[in-house]
Amino acid sequence: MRKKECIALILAGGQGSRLGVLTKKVAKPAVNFGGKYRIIDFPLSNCTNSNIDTVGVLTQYQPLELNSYIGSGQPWDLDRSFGGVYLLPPYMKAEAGTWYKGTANAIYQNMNFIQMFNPDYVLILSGDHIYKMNYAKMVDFHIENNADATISCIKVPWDQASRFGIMKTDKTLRITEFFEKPKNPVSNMASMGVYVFKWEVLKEYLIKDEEDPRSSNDFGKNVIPTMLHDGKRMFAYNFKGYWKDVGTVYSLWEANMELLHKKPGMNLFDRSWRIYSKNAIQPPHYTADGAVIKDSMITEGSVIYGKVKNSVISSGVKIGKNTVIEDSVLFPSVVVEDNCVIKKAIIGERSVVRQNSRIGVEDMIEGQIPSKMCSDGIVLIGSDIVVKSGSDIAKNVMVE
Amino acid sequence: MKDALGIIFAEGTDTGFGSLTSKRSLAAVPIASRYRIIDFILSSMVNSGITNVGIITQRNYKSLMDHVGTGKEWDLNRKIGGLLLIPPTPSRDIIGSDKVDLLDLAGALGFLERSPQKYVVLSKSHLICNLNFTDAFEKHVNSNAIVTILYQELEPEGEISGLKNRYFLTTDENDKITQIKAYTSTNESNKISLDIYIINKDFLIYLIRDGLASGERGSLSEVFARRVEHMKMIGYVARDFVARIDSIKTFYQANMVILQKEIREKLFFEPGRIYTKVKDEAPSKYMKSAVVKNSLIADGCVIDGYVENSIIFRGVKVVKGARVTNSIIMQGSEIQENATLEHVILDKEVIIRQDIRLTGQKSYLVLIDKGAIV
Repeated sequence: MRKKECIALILAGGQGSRLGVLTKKVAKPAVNFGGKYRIIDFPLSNCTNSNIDTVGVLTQYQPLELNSYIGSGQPWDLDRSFGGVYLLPPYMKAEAGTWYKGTANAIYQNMNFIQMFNPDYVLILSGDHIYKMNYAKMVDFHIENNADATISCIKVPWDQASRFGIMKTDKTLRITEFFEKPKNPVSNMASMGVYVFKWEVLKEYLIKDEEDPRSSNDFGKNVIPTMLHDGKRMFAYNFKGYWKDVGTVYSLWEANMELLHKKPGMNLFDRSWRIYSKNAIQPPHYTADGAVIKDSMITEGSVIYGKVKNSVISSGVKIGKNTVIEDSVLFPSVVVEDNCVIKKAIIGERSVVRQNSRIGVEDMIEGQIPSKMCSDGIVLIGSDIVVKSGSDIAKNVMVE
Repeated sequence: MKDALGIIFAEGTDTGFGSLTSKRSLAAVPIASRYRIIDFILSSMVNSGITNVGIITQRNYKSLMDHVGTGKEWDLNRKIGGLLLIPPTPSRDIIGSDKVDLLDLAGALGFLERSPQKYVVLSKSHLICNLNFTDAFEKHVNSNAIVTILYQELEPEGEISGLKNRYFLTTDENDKITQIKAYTSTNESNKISLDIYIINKDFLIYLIRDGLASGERGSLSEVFARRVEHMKMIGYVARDFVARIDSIKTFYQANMVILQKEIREKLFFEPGRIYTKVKDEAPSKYMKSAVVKNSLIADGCVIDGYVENSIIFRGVKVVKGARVTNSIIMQGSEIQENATLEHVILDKEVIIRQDIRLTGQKSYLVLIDKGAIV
């Protein structure tokens, strides 16, 4: 029987509620990033570059845009006759059908899909992170250790450790303890939510986990601790490099800004590890006489007449005369008319800022309540919004 | 336009382009920061609803093959129809000419006969345009014409240079063509043929077969000129922007004219988009010392120098202190510190070392070969 050594499953069902209005209409993995990408381009491109050509994408919330974005998988070279990319939403089965209850349940519900490829190893990924990683190296490490499970981990600052799954290992990197989001972390080795399992072993544990009515069917909370308790061979794979959770408005803004550093943590210009994305079919960008652009990224289809400083400008964006854009992220097809000032803002797709508007310049006046989603002065404007001419939108405001 | 197939003649021009066409056909010459010349006519056909396109090649078609691939960027990777590259007619290669000769079309006979469509839209590849053929096609079908020739009206004071080898049409009040004539100094018509034809397929097949049997030769304009009195041929005026590339000078002009807002907005967006091979470059990065004026810049560039009135292709580096004005810099080239380029065309992957100064004139451009290190 034809088989695949290793297939990947991307958990792309997260609601991303901390991204506020950005995930009102799209799933978190479909949120725009870095001018011409979406978050899911990173795990998908990592798979392609790691020679993993069979990828299941598990979707749940607001799947329409994500589904149409991924399509046949052609931009990632994942349009294959055996393998390729598959979109796996929850579905009705003969007896009943349910939403994905947890990360482990999502995989459980797709066991038939995995079985189709009869793999030796299954790679579980999340669709929420910005990073470049060679999964093939991690699978090799898994095979060398004859491991049942391998968890990729990264050192995080101690004060953030309690947000992650934290592990302790012995000298051979075999995991001895694992705590999901501990109050008092014993280490700062955090799980990145990237796992390799022996498929036979994982299958057994998924079935067992599903039979346990008390389980919340989650990898970090249930499956991993149970396997460890049973003495399975579990190893930690140390990842060194840029890895960013873009789960909040601030972290999404920060990750975009980090691309503009002189030596960015994430080098998008590396020809040996390209990040692929669906092409927007736009002409080259045009920079007019009188435009001033510094420390910024500009992509195809944009037309710039104004001043752009330290900002990420996506495809098809138009920036008018005498307009100043600073420390901001403009999503595709945003239009900013003449004489505007925009500071530290994220502006959603196709929104229009009419002339003489000021965004993110003034502090809030007393009595105004800042958005729960925004912090550090960031203004968040949703997609398809029209900001009337002469508007003044204060810092920490979310417009939907 | 399901009932029309497309034929693009990718001429293997051998003169007038210097090293730009020494290793590639004119159709595959890079233009406008991220395109190849053929992208415009090919996208025009696709946007008009043509889903079956044959490209007739001449010499040096490796680069063109690499560019169009399976046709997926144009949605032409189809089971029914799609894109077909037609290798050159063997005996033809030696003769060498950029006219669409009857004999060149012989290689497409099988393609024409096999295809279910009844009409053919035929063009050369060297037109920078964004056309929709739907209206011309409907007029062709409704008028029961055998051939429709698309033409443009020359401005009275329009330039005379470059009119040699061009054909002019004379039409009556019903757009019926009464005469097709090569340009002479006594030329009276202002209707200049674009060499884009809509032809009844059976007639085209007949012409090719008859030409092979009788030895009739010549460009399609010549072949049609001989028959215009006996057959219904009509003219169709195209009022869109069309730039014709037949020399380095017109190539340079076509690039520069795209810097004009009105032309850019029409050429890239109306009536359809222009497709090209995707390269998956990152967005371009502007650094601290970047100064860019009136320029088109593709993705994957790192700009830290001065760029004015220029066309910058994908993956170009302009280092701090470098100056590029009125120039065309093709993919992957690098301009190092304090180098100065003016009226220069750099082919792909050229490196200009620091402090080098290259100055051309508008009328005499400096052209640097692919991969050169200056």
